[in-house]
Amino acid sequence: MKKNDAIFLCLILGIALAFFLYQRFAIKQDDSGFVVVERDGNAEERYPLSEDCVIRLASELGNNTLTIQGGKASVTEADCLDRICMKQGTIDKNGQSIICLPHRLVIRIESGEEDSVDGITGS
Amino acid sequence: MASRVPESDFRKTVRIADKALLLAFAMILSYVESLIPFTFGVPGVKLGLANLAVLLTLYRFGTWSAFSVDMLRIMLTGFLFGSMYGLLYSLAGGIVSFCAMLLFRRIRSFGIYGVSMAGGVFHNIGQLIVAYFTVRSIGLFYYMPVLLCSGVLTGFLIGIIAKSVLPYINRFGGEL
Repeated sequence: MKKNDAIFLCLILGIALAFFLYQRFAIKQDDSGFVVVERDGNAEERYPLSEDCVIRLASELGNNTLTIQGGKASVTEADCLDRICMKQGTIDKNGQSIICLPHRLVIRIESGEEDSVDGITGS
Repeated sequence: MASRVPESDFRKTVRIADKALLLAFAMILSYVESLIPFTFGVPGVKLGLANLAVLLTLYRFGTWSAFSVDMLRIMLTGFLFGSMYGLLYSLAGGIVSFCAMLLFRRIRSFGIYGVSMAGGVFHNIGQLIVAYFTVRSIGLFYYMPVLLCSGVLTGFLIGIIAKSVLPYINRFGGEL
């Protein structure tokens, strides 16, 4: 293995670690989480993680069913072609997300309070 | 690597057959990979096993052959087993990944491991970026650590396999 290969390997692992640490520590983790439903990048609805409910998210692109139960959110039904959103399991921590790309739907967990970081550049 | 003596028809046919075999190999790898659960919310994100075939083609036959194998593999697998929707994402990831591999190969100080790891990582990064332009949500980048790690690690493993296999392909490949 050439030296540059090893450097590249360590570099990528380092970047991955950086991303991971940032998510773990810079973004607040607490129990007062909200499930934010985003369409096309716009936050549309918020539901508290603490209340169990089943919500049908309908749009002209398709339907997904969001289930909040026991402090965790998941997509239990979807009519998109690949159903990747249903395979992603449950989310309950700040920053985690379930994405249905065909329906341009992103379901995220957000903390009830402010993050220790004001924002992330992007959009 | 190019032969200076005009190639006989037999040799040409053998080359075509070899490349076709590599393409078939790529498709089988794609299939095997689809059996391993690895979904992370970004469509098209994969372990990158099929890259092994592309890598072998790259080092055995050169840039254009490898590009053909890669693109044909994506399109054939997409048409036969996937949806048209996923195809676009696969193509995006494939092109980004291939360009990265070419670049790394050009840089002399990177070996086959580097090229392979680059292919793996940039495939995933490419997919993530394309997905971002569709959905525009920061939530996507939650998956960065996993994608980066899996890209590099599978790339590394593929590099090991490719390095072991290449001497054998060259010996029986019909040209050398």
